[in-house]
Amino acid sequence: MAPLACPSCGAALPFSTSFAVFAVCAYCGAAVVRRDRDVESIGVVADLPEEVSPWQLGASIAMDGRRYTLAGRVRMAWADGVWTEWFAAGANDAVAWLAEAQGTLAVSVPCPAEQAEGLDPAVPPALNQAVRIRATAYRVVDIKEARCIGVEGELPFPAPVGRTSTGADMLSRDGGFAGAEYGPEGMRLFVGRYATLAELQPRGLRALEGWTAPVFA
Amino acid sequence: MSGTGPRPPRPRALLCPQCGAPITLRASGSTVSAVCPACTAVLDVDGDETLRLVAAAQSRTRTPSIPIGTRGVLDGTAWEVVGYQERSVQAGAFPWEEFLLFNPYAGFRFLLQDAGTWSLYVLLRRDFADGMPRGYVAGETNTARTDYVLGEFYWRVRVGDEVQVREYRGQHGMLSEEWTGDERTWSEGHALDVGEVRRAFGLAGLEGRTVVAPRRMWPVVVAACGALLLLAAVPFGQERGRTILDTSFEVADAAAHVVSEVDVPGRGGTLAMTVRSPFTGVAATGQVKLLPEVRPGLVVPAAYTVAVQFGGGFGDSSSAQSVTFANVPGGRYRVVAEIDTPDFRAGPKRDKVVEYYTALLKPYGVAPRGPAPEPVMVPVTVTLRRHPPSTGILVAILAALLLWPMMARLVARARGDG
Repeated sequence: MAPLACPSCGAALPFSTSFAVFAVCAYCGAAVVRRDRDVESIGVVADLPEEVSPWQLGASIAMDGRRYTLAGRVRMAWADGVWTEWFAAGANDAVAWLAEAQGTLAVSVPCPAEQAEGLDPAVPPALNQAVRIRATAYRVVDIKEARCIGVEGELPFPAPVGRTSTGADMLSRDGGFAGAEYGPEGMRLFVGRYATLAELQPRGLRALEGWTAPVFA
Repeated sequence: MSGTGPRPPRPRALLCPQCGAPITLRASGSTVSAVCPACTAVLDVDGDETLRLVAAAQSRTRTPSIPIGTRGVLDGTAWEVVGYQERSVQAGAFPWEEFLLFNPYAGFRFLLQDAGTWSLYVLLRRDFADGMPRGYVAGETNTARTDYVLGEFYWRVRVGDEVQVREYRGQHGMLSEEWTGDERTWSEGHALDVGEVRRAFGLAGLEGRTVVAPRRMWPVVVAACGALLLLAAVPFGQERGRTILDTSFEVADAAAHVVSEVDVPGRGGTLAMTVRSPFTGVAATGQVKLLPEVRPGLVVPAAYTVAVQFGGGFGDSSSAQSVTFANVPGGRYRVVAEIDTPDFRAGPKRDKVVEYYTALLKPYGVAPRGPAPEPVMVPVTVTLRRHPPSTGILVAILAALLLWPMMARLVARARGDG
């Protein structure tokens, strides 16, 4: 794929995956939406505040024998907190999300909405509601109204700053995680699990001044 | 923004909206509540890292037993103390300390000190909704109130917040359930030996209880016997002895201040001098000396000196320094402190800064704008413990040896039951 140029400053845009439709120019901060054969700038994205996080674009994780590279990130805020969703791309158009919230990590992959019993694709569920996804029992443990407060890199959907959505987190008895996000484009469902840093076999982590990175065998 | 290259990370200097003091976020990116280290105002940190005042200065200022910013290795991971909560049940009764620990690679943990018992908790991501976790015995339900906060938190912390808590005890540890309204969290913990916490954070004076896991009883008993025998050869233990001085004061200039006087009774003995400070400002350095009162016939030895370094940011300085001096003669001593900080807000310096700017601006007919910087002082606590030349230790060893067969039987019975 020929690199697309930023309509604002001419720098190469980070569209490395075929399904990315939204990107933030690393040079000038322009938010760019990809049309059929062209790109259009829809505004400028402010820098994200520095975070004491070991993750960065270009780092990679392993999940179920596949390696994914972090290609984009969405910074989310709700009334009482903030978290980051990293968009990760693997070989053959494989897609995964890494959620980083208060030092806990959850990895998930998109799941067709039809595979969930007990979830309305139009209306967010209620707290404690029982949901069944692919024969696993989950319970809704958390529902949050969230707002996108920053973006970086490329994303499979346009995520302009200010986009709001409702997220429902689900937990299973064995640490399984599922998330349903109700945004302007409808519901998106993800299924995965909570993971430790070591389980994700990360590569390319960011060095953090004053901290020693753990060594993974 | 310009198109000259990838944008470098931007360091953020955050200032307290209440008093103007600088605030460093140690877990930036997760933190949504912070407490101003200078005026103890509680602040909300918004997504774009602007600070919003929630509550003005808290009325009490307590000193956490482990200062914010202290680092230590627990369970093989380096942790930094980023938050401190004092919580209690039944309106101020039964208070406990709750430290929020952070490592950017490992996340957050909770270190608790409740009536001298230390324990380490991690938040669980597992659903227990359909029933109690198996193999645990539930304790009573209590209302836990947050009474005092310092540092920063990844949740909106509020003084006066109340949650329901219930402890569960199991064979290999504890579970803690906390809920308010519909929100419920579970965490899993285990007790820590106070020695482990002391070593981890380099705080030899930390109070607490010794905890021995049941299956590790044997090596400990053997080690205890060994230690007792060693004590017979070296008659002065580190942790034993009587406190003959425990004094707190505030300094902020290099002059030598006589802060206290102390009588070392009898023939003297071994003295352990500990100097600690919760100071978290710009580095404070200096020394605390023990100077014998000059009297005829006394050969004055070199002063007993403890060099100290407090504050100054990350890990390179510790909040407590302890030195043990052997064969200190009995008599009267002066405790002299010479501790200085380059912090321009420190005591006399702050007045000079204000004076300087006032004089500088005077010819122009203007006064310095805004309030003068809040003065800072370095709070210091000096404790002296004396270990007298002892003969009683041999008696203790004999008693221990006599009691040993009885203890062994008790231990065996306890293990048989478990």
